[in-house]
Amino acid sequence: MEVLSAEVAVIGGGVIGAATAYYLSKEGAEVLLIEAEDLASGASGACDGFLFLQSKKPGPQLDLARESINLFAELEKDLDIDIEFNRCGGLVLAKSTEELKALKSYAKKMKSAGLDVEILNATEVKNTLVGCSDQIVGASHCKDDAQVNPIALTLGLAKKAQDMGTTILKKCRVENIVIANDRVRELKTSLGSVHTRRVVCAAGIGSNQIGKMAIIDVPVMPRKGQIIVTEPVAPMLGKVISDMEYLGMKQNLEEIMPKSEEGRRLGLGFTAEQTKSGNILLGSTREFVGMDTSTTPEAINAIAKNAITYLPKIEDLDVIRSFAGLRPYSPDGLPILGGVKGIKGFYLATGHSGDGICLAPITGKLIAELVLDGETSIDISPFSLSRFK
Amino acid sequence: MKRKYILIDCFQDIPCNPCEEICPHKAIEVGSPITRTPRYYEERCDGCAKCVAVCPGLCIYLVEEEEGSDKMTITLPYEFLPLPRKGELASVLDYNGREVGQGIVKRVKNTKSENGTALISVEVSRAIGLAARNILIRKTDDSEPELVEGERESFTDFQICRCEEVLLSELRTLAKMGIVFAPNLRRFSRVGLGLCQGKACSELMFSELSNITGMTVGELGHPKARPPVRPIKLRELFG
Ligand SMILES: Cc1cc2nc3c(=O)[nH]c(=O)nc-3n(C[C@H](O)[C@H](O)[C@H](O)COP(=O)(O)OP(=O)(O)OC[C@H]3O[C@@H](n4cnc5c(N)ncnc54)[C@H](O)[C@@H]3O)c2cc1C
Ligand code: SF4
Ligand code: SF4
Repeated sequence: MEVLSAEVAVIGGGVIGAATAYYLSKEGAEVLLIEAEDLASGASGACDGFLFLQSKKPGPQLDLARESINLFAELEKDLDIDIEFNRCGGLVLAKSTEELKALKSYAKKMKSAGLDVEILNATEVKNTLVGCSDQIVGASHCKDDAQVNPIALTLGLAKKAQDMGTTILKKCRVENIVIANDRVRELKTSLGSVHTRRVVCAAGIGSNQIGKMAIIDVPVMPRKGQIIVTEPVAPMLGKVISDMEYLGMKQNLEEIMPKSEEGRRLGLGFTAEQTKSGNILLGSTREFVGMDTSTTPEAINAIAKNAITYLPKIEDLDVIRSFAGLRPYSPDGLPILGGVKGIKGFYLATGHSGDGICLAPITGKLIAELVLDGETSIDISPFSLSRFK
Repeated sequence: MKRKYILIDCFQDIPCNPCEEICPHKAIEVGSPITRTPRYYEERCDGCAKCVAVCPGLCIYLVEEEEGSDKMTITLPYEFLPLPRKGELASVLDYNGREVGQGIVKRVKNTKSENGTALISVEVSRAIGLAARNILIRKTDDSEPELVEGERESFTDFQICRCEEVLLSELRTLAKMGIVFAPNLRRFSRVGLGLCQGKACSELMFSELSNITGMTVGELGHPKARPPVRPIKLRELFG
């Protein structure tokens, strides 16, 4: 490869890198997207497509997510690939009166943060989710929760960015970053040098390593999630669905975390969504097992068991597949966004943990603003790297 | 008395049921679980041969026989080029590919609705009829086989993955967009992600892909095989 140059280099061809390249190109920047494997070969190609407002912490994270959902509506029109954006609404199920109590108080917080949530009683849940278990005592419903096809989204963003002038380099790994006089100058890659003064790190679980190249600690570590997939069936779920333990796992709320020893070890929380093609995706686990992406019988069984307790009528569906992905997990579960003190031209867009699909559009938009204008339309200081000091 | 019926050489417990779905008269039943082998009800069958064309395993054959005649007609699925022609003499092969005799090509049907699988009807003697599984047209010279006009075109697109109904042209489009590595191609096109879990289509996908891209199968990379290896009921997963 001859020496390349770019106005902005984006490291990582997952949903975050693709969204960043898209919004940068939209503003006329000359972008080089560098991907070690292929588009969506990381977490973005092995995940669910929940755009789940109810699971976001009321505050800056929820605010970001809401802005992001608005952008999905625009993307749906602008991208040339159908991203299967579906404003289906979402449910959080409670299976005991204690859980329902906790859910009610949580719903209050969400409401005061401006989210349109309602509490459904057992009968109302039954009417919304036909065939669900009698054990369900209530649920919260938010009509603004939605879903998307994460792979189509990643590909759609990358393709459009490419059409607007982004160059995409695949099978190209960033191996070092040359910094001189406190400014990024050059990337060393497996295919050669790239001269650039602006670099966005959107490398998912590879971000920690990218950080090391710039001699900073980016606390992102892989957190595995396993999912099982059923045969395609006629629409039967209608909504994206989770349970209280999922909420507990995501928000680190001790009182609603899984009770069983196995559930805790696997980080089990129930999720179910039906894709446009009719398959039902059942999840999921949250495990710290390094870079291992295997699916395990223990987790698959636990997910199946969990799913049947909520949705007994799916027990006769055939499971045709399982998969696992590695979330780029940050210590507080919130993304790490923005510049880094002492290194001009180096930006982080990573650590999205289990919310990267949902937050991709707004992340891309804000990072593009930051890189090109030096400021963002929404305050991103709550997501800065320096919060971990 | 004319009699029309099918033979089904489907013996493995594979997750597959297009024959059941396509039959307009419910003459084939796979039922549940989908890995059951098909059962056939001759009394309901009208011999339309739709199942012959749809079976991805090419393992259904239509037999037509007439009382008193020492000939019978076998209709078989055929996926090679060039297609045989009406009136041509064909060697008749059995299940193991051994030549068991000769027959005359009586009909060649190749419509779009059959996804590029042609239906060839050969007239054979009763003695070998039920053993016929394929035919071979012996070439008399080495020249390039000449194709009937439109024949190649009708074969330039077909369903490479029947479970997810992915056309070869869709793979070509993705390849043009630069999606060539097998794991990703699978993600984007869904090829190989259906009920048969790639058992039926993987080989075909790889050979077509290396045709399209010029890359070797090794370079294309292998998607990860994930459990379960065949569909299993949710409730059977734990216990
Ligand atoms: C099981 C599971 C379910 C999930 N469900 C949801 C959900 O429902 N909703 C939601 O919003 N989120 C969900 N997520 C989270 C979401 O998938 C991630 O947050 C998101 O995909 C992260 O995107 P990314 O672009 O940061 O990372 P990735 O998609 O992992 O992309 C990073 C890319 O960077 C590349 N890279 C790394 N290092 C280098 C290097 N040195 N040089 C060049 N390239 C490099 C990698 O090859 C990779 O392609 C889920 C995750 C999992 C695992
Ligand atoms: S030949 Fe037609 S009617 Fe008979 S089994 Fe096949 S599809 Fe059904
Ligand atoms: S379509 Fe063919 S392979 Fe599939 S079940 Fe029917 S006979 Fe068997």
